[in-house]
Amino acid sequence: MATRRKFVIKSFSAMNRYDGSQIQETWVNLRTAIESILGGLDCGKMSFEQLFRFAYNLVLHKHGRMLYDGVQKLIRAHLESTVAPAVAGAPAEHVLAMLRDQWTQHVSKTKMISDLLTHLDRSFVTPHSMLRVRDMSLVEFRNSVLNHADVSERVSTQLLETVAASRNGEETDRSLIRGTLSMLVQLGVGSMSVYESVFEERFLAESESFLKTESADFLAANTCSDYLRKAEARIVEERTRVWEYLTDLTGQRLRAVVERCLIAEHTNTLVDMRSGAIAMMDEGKLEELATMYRLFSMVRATVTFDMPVRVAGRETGATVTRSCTPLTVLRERFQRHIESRGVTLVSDTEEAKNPVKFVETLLDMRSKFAVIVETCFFGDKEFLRAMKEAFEFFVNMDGRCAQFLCLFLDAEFRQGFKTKAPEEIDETLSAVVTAFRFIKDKDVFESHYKLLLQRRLLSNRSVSDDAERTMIIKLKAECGPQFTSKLEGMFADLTSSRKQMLEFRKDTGSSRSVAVDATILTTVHWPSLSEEACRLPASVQPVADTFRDWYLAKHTGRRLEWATSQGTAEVSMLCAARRYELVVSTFQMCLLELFNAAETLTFERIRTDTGISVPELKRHLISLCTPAARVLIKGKKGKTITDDEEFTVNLKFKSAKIRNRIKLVTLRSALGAGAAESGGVPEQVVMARKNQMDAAIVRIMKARKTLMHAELVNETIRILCHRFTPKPADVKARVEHLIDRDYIARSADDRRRYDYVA
Amino acid sequence: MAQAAAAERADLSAAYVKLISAEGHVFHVERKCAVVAGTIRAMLAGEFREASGEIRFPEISTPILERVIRYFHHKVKWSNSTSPPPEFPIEPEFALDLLMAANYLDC
Repeated sequence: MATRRKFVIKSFSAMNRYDGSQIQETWVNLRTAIESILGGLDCGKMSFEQLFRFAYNLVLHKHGRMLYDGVQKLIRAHLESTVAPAVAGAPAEHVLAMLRDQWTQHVSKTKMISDLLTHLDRSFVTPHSMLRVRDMSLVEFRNSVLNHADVSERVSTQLLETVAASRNGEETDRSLIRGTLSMLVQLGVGSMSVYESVFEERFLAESESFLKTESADFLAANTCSDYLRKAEARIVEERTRVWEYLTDLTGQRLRAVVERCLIAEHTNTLVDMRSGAIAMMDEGKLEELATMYRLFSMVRATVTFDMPVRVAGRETGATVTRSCTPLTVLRERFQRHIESRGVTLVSDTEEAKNPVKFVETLLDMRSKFAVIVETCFFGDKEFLRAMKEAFEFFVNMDGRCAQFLCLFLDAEFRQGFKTKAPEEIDETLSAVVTAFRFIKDKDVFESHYKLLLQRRLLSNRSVSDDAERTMIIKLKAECGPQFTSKLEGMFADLTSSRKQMLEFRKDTGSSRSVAVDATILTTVHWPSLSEEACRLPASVQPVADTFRDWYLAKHTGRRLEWATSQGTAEVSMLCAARRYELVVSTFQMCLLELFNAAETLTFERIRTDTGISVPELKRHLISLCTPAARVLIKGKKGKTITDDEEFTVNLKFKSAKIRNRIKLVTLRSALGAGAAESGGVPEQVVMARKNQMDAAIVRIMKARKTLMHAELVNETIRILCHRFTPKPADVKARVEHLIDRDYIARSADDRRRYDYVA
Repeated sequence: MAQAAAAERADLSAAYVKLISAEGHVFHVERKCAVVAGTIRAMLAGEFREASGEIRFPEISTPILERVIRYFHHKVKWSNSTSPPPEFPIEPEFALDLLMAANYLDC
């Protein structure tokens, strides 16, 4: 402890050494050093420590101001005497290179000087909130060199000329531009004003006029796809330019200019021109469309677009001008295009006669546009929606589409699927289901489908049971089990009938002259069963009675009726010593049976004996008289049948086959007749809708107890919309009907409110 | 062998710098410790005489420079350490000079 020194505060003798002359001497030393640094002399002999200490001491002794000003004057003098004249005197093509060289040197000199003056920055500049030595030096450079009368303008022009040259495909020194631009940024000392005023503003203006001229010229002389390719290349090039030498901010601004000039301003032309988007869709130019989508989706700028005005689904011919993105324009035109194609299809009277062709065209169209959305528009959700809306628009223009889909399926089930592989069948069915999705009135589809399914099942004409079931499963997945329960019931009936018949044969034996094969159908599942009836012939009636007795004994409490308008019969006929088997309808079986007793019968006689209604009887008789069948011979030639027309059995009946199926002719008005009226909605469907609306309204009211009129209507429409879209007026009519029947009542204090009557 | 030794010396001179006090005492300090001081860092990085790795401090006495160097090591050791650094001992009689030196050296 004894060695420990006493604590002494030393007097600041060192400071006292600095009087006026010493300060002057120090400054002279320092100035010489800085001058040689600025002069570019070798500094290896100079001591950093010494110079640093000089500067340190000057600042320490409150001569910071003198030091700062002195250094500033030195730098300015140097720049004005040597650097500025060098740059200003350089020829135009070298001015950038010269400027860059001078700049690089100046930066490194500035660094050396500012390193020496660190203490000045720290203890003098910062407290006085002045520019740091480095920044001060840069500002000096800006003032003396860049803002020199002969420099700024030339630099700016040179930069733009170089860019223009590179746009025209010439090779340019990119690093020179990058260096110069980064210099402009740094010279702003914390702001971008120098960069913007010397370069960016003029650059953007120049770019805009260049791109506008270029794109307009190119578009005028080339096709849309060429233009798209060119534009895409240009965009890529400009993007490369951005990361090669532009700042991010300029990049964004330039991008906006590029997109506006190249795409946005030409949007309408690109879509509508002769080789434009619409033509591409028609011609299947998927790649070009994809390019267009890609380009359009980049653009955020809006363009004006004349959108057609539509009132209640009809074009009025007027347009409103809206401002939207190019992508929206493309989407709108895409949607309108599908719609116009669809409307052409729907209103084409030739197609209207052929459901198969109609549906095939429809499915083709759908798959074509689906491919376009998938591959060209990259599955864009908005475009999918636009496509769906477009299809819904024209598919629901009348009720025919639903019916035609069913007829198409019917044709396929009867014939088409015979030669198709299961995968193909599945594909067709899926395509039909996608088309089915567009249909708003699902119940119309259901009613047609049911009717045709019944015909197929009862006449046993369906090619593939599996395909039928697959279709049902698909519909079930689409619309829920409620939708298909009746259809499934039809199949269930057939299965159980087969079982019943086996039991019946076992119980009663099969030694009978007439074999019966009955199908037991649940009435509610099958549409229009018992409209037509006929008297069964005496030879058949007992068998039918036997079956009826057997069935009713087994299932008490049921009612069994014979649906003679359905079903087929096989009868045999002896002609010219040959035995033929004819497969005929039940009605035909009945009337042919009459000819066992007489060779010739009048129409009136047949009618009274069988009890078949006139139009049906005519239809079945004509079927037997057609040149293809010729089982009966008509008394008179011609297509009409009079009451006293005579029919004779054709004893010279001849056929290569033993078994002959008699095809029923279809009455011309049978197909589509019912649908053409009442806006395409069949009578039964209208009835069913009323019931469904009633049920929905009662269900809603039961749950809510009391509800305003508007809400009730909305809710009803919402519940039913997956089957059909009720009109508010219809709903209102049903509500009034229900009020009459005391299910609901108008509220006493508010006429617009309904209460549920328990 | 001679070459290897020369290379090693060069490495060492790259890894170490000489700090020389007012009295002429030479301290060999690891470069990574010496650059704790901003001023020394600037000296070594610049184009001046000190770039060779030898720095004279005519205004810093040996005991002060010694403590300064100790502080360099202390700082290097405890920077990036998860535990809080212990206090660096400063004798009161050196406090003022150390303060001046620290201001000068920017550390």
